[in-house]
Amino acid sequence: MTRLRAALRDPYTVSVTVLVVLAAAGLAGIAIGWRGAAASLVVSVQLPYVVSGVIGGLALLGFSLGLLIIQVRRRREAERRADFDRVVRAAADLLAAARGMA
Amino acid sequence: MSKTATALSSLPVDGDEALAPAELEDGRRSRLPRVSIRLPTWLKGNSPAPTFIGVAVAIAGFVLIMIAWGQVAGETQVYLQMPYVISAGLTGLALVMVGLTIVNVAAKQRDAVDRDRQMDQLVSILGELKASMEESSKGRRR
Repeated sequence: MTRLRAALRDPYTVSVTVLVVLAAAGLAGIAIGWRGAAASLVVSVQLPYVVSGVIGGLALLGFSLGLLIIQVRRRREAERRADFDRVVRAAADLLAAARGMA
Repeated sequence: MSKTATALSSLPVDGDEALAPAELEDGRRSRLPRVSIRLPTWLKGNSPAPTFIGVAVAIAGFVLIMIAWGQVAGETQVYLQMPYVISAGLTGLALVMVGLTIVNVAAKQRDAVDRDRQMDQLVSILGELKASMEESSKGRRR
């Protein structure tokens, strides 16, 4: 329970969870669209399911997965930036020491 | 203020300055030419505006899909439904993808600006370190 609370405090975990839920909702939309369209032999009845379920589901799935990729990449980039910041600080320390010696 | 903080504060942190190509040892500029296009402030690399624009475009796409569904569900003839599918449904899907691409490009641009700033800081520190070491070695020779 404490672990879950700690994880929920991390905005990255929350955003990834929300995006995964949205992707699952997109897949569910496609499934519902398929089910609705398969239940009728009349094209004019099938089309609303295609639009709301399949097109809407595809849009939701693509959007959430795209945002998920961006989010994961930004997290990695932030970690890399933090590592690089340590290098910059070490170089600044070195410069300060060299100035002190001069 | 510590020596490290003093050394860091003396470095360029301005976006434009940080984005300028690094000066090479013999005074030449790096091979990449500097782009001279002046973008408005809200479109510059570290602005969050493009991200919001991308999200707004994607939301507009979802709204279009909902409109398409509403119109298609209100018709009983396929030849009347198809124009809504194409003009609103597929266009909505396209808008969602366009919005996602805008968000992606904006995120990459922001990361690139931060990366360039860090790299420029490091180059400046190493340049000053080199000058300081040269100065101290000259002092020893005397």
